Amino acid sequence: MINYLYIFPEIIITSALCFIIVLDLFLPSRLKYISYYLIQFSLIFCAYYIYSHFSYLNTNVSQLYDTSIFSNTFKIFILLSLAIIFYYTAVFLRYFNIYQTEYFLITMFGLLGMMIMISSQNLILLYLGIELLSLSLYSVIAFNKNSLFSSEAAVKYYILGAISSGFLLFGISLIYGLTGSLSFNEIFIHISSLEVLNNMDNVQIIGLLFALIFILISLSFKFGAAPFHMWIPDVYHGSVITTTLLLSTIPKIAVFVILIKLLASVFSGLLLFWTDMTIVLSVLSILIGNIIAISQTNIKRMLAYSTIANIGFILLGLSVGSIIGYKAAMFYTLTYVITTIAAFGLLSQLVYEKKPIENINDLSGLNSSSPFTAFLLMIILLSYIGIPPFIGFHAKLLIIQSLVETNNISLGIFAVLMTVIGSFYYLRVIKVIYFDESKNDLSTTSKLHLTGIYIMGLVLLGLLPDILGQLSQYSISNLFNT
Amino acid sequence: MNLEIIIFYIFSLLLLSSSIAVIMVNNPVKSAISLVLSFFSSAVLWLLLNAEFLSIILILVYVGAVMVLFLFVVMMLDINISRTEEGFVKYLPIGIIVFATIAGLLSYFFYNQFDNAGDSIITSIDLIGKDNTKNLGYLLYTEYLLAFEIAAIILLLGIISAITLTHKKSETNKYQNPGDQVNVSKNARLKIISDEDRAR
Repeated sequence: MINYLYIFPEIIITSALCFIIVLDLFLPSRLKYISYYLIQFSLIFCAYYIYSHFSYLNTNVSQLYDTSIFSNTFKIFILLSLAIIFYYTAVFLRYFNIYQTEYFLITMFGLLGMMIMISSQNLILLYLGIELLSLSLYSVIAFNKNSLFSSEAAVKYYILGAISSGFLLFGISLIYGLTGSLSFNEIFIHISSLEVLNNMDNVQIIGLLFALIFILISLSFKFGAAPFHMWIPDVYHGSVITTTLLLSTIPKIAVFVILIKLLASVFSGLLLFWTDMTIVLSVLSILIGNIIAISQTNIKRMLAYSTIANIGFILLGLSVGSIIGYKAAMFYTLTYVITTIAAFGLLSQLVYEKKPIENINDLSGLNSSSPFTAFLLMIILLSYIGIPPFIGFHAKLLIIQSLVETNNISLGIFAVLMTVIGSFYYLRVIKVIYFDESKNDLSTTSKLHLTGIYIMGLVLLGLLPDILGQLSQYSISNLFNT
Repeated sequence: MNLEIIIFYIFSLLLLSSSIAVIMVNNPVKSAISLVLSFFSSAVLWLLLNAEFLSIILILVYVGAVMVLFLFVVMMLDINISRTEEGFVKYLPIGIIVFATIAGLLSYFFYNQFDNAGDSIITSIDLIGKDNTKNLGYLLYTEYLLAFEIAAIILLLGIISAITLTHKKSETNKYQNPGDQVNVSKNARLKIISDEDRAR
């Protein structure tokens, strides 16, 4: 049983959803903005509720649902990011006249799924959360009914997602068969009671590893790590740019939380084995992401491959297998999400020949038509590369530092080399913006004041990296104390 | 060999062969019917495990409702059978490699685990008497109530997104909005063109 005060944030979101669905039907189209503001208000209010009840929620000892400081930090982060994403989405959809409140509502279901994933302490809840998230993503991708690409992307993602859910369920059933429980805590106790090199337990460990591999495959599919990355470029390319913004940011946080909970605490007894698996995943992701991104001409596809490379860096932090690595990975995840929101958000506000921006060449000569936009885009790209004053530098530095400190020097060198290769395709965009011939068909959907403030915040975070550093320090150490 | 084991082997063979038939048969209707057979044989296997409620639900819901709908849809669609055969040989080697790896690992694991099968970890859950249905209901509404509610929310999402994706504002309907008609102003109907404009 569970005390319902602990799931109050989820209840807030669910009731707001149900209320707004019904309300929106009765609003005439010129008053639709009311439901948009109500959605934004419920997101902010939910984040505020979690923040103000931080210590109370932390007293939860439920075996089913975890509302510790670690989970709640991520929940607040997700809620606030989603509020920013909704701002960009609303601007974009209104400009291109495909605005429908249902887009936001379906995304809110996905938010609920992510909150459940983050808090789950039981494999059943984890599965349900992942399903809720992916179902909402399938329908959001297919949202643009006029575009053939969009339907193709949705069908592709749907079929691959169903297969990966099957993998997850197979792994879960094996774990249930071997340990007799679905609760994270009991699985942890069972695994730590096994002696890893003992012959008697050998068969058990092979079975558990088998299950772990299946779960890891499924999660890295959702995460977008190579070699399970095939869907990412097509889906990012096919969907509307604000959907791409949604897809590439907050689901990654939820999957990261699950990965760190499963690998670093539940399966910590099998640390020897899963570190190797994550090293393979991360090396492949960084390699494939960075090298294939070079040949892309479509900016969404290019950023899709850059996502894969970034995911590789996060997994590299996890593969260290100690707290210093987890901290670096968390720092990297937060940085990646903040930077990606800025990147796709800014791109979603640019219009080329009355259509959303598609190719890198559409941006050529952006500097001469609007120097401010060009400057903002340059900051984001430099942060992606990891040029010192910006936040991306600190993230990459922490990952490489944690690798070197645990004597994985060859992996550290590999990461640095790949960053150099990766900087090529980001720099090419900067070259196109600043040095190519200007096309005067570029305009923006709205004034860029808010985007400008957001990106200045990004710069400030880069100058004061301790804010994110302290946050990851605080939440990761909380995860391992309890 | 007792009866239970004989039934188990018969129906697991049936399950395996019908599942293979689902993906190998060319005609989609036959494939759907093989799926019905595989559902039925897995229901029998569940019955052997004393999960009588689940096995009957499987037959009622999947065979009775879902598969019938599915068959209707399959019969309505005009599927080009020859195209489904394309690429079978091309992808066969990869398929065999994946199959061999998974099957090999699984059989190694289960073969070794068979010795310990006697002291199975899972003991049947018996909370309030022998009745399987009552036990399930008890667990669903106490320990897993949260999961149960989340499943309900997933269904709600399914309804909403299905309607959003398929609903089209009908463009053939012609109707008048009295509010717009009353509020119409002179400017919407009349355009005053000065002489100079006309001269251009």
